[in-house]
Amino acid sequence: MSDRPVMIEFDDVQKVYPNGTVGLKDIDLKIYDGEFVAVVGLSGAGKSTLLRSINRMHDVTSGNLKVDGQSIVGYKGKDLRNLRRSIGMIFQDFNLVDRASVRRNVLSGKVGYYSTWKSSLGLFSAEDKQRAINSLKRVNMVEKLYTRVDELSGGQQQRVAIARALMQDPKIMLADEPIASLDPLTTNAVMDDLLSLNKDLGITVLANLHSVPLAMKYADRIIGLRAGQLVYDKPIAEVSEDDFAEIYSESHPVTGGAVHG
Amino acid sequence: MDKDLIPKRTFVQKYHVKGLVGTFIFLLLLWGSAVMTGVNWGEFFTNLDQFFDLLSRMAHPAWDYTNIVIQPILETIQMALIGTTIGTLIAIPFSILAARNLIKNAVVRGVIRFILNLVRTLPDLLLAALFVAIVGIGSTAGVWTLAVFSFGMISKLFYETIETIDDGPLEALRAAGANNVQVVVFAVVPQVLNSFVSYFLYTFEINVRASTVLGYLGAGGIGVYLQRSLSSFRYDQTAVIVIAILLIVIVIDSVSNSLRERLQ
Ligand SMILES: Nc1ncnc2c1ncn2[C@@H]1O[C@H](COP(=O)(O)OP(=O)(O)OP(=O)(O)O)[C@@H](O)[C@H]1O
Ligand SMILES: [Mg+2]
Repeated sequence: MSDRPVMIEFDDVQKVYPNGTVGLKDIDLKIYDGEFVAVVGLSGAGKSTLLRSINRMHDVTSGNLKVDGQSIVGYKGKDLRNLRRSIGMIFQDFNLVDRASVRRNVLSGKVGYYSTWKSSLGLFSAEDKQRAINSLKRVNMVEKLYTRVDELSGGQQQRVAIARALMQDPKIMLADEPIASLDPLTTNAVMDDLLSLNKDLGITVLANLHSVPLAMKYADRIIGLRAGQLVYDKPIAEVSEDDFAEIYSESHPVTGGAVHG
Repeated sequence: MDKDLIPKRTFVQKYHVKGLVGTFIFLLLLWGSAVMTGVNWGEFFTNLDQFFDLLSRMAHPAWDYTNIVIQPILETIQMALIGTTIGTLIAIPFSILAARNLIKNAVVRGVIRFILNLVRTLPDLLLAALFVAIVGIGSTAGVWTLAVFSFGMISKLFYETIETIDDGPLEALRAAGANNVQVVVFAVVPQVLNSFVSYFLYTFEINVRASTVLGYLGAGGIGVYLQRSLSSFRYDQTAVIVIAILLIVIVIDSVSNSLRERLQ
């Protein structure tokens, strides 16, 4: 992987929440262009914090964070919105507007590329309307174009959410426990969709997963967090099941995790 | 042993002390206010004669008066509609600025809420008197009265609705690079639109009823005619007006109710 350009780079990143909780501690991490990285760790380990610092939904306390070579920690206003529109994000609870149609939800992924008034009046270009259809085709949901989101199952909603993120033409896709609310069957459909974005479109994928078998099945590389620290980082070929006992153990910090990169 | 599992009630619980004390205080307040306002129950019932006398005189409505009332009735409805619309349009930005989940700045929110609370303390009749004094007698005064009244009521209903929405879509839109206006348009509006329309109709209903009275203070509409007929003792005309108001209110209430039900 290290022959590819670096897409995301954490340099001694710290995150302390206003109430004193440590979110991230001494994070040094490089994610390469086109990787599919699974992030694992106990609840509260800092997985969501890690993901959300990449699109600055959370600000880091200190250290540097680069996306595609640019330091993003000082971004404000337009720069920040431009960063965010280049990064797709999907969520455990899908975060779609239930009362709106699939089409409107998917198109809303593109608003970062439109002026306030054009988007508010719903003046999307013919090209983007076509793109919405193509995005939905990619996740096999195009027949639901005009359906209201609240009439869809959870798995279908997550696929619509992926289509919405695809509208952004993202370089990076952040997935925060994308399958935690889904049953095993739809889980595979959603994970397959993520994999195809990664393999066919070359989008760098960073996914928080609670399931080790899924992480092993889909990811190229697994990183483990524990109390805000990076305690594990191996390409999938070197991962063995036994490693996870350490990441998920309640006590003694792991020392053996090889940090590659 | 089983008996021990049943929890014991405290003295207060056992003898319903709170309920009894509450009832007693309520009765005391009732009696106190009757004494202080000088309600004379005897007088209240002897005056019933007058009431029945009025009713009997209203029993023969002057139906030919109907043609004359139609115009002011329509004016009343127009006043209510325009007033409610103006109030709503002003209420929208205010309710957004007052919503906790949209505006993180507590100072901005506090100032806006203070203004809204202030506006809501003004009784509509006081507003009417004020506007008649400012813009003169006529329906313009009525429209402004209803606009201010609707603004106070609707902005509170609106911001409380906004605060109940699911924040997930807001987060998703922000993460996609949307600016604040786009977040409102794409994530807030679709979630609140139905409730907003429903509250608009509800306020319109209230305003139609309220505006029938505003005429009393010279703020236009059917109330002017109501006052005129009463002060000239033309109870046959009063009867026509009362019936007309009743019909209109029933029609508007039921239309708006069925619309609101469909919006649920
Ligand atoms: N807004 C916040 N304010 C204060 N503390 C927070 C906040 N968000 C998260 N934390 C804390 O930071 C730590 C890391 O949280 P984070 O959500 O990143 O964990 P996670 O690994 O995603 O957990 P989970 O698997 O439960 O989603 C936790 O201790 C959490 O309680
Ligand atoms: Mg999390």
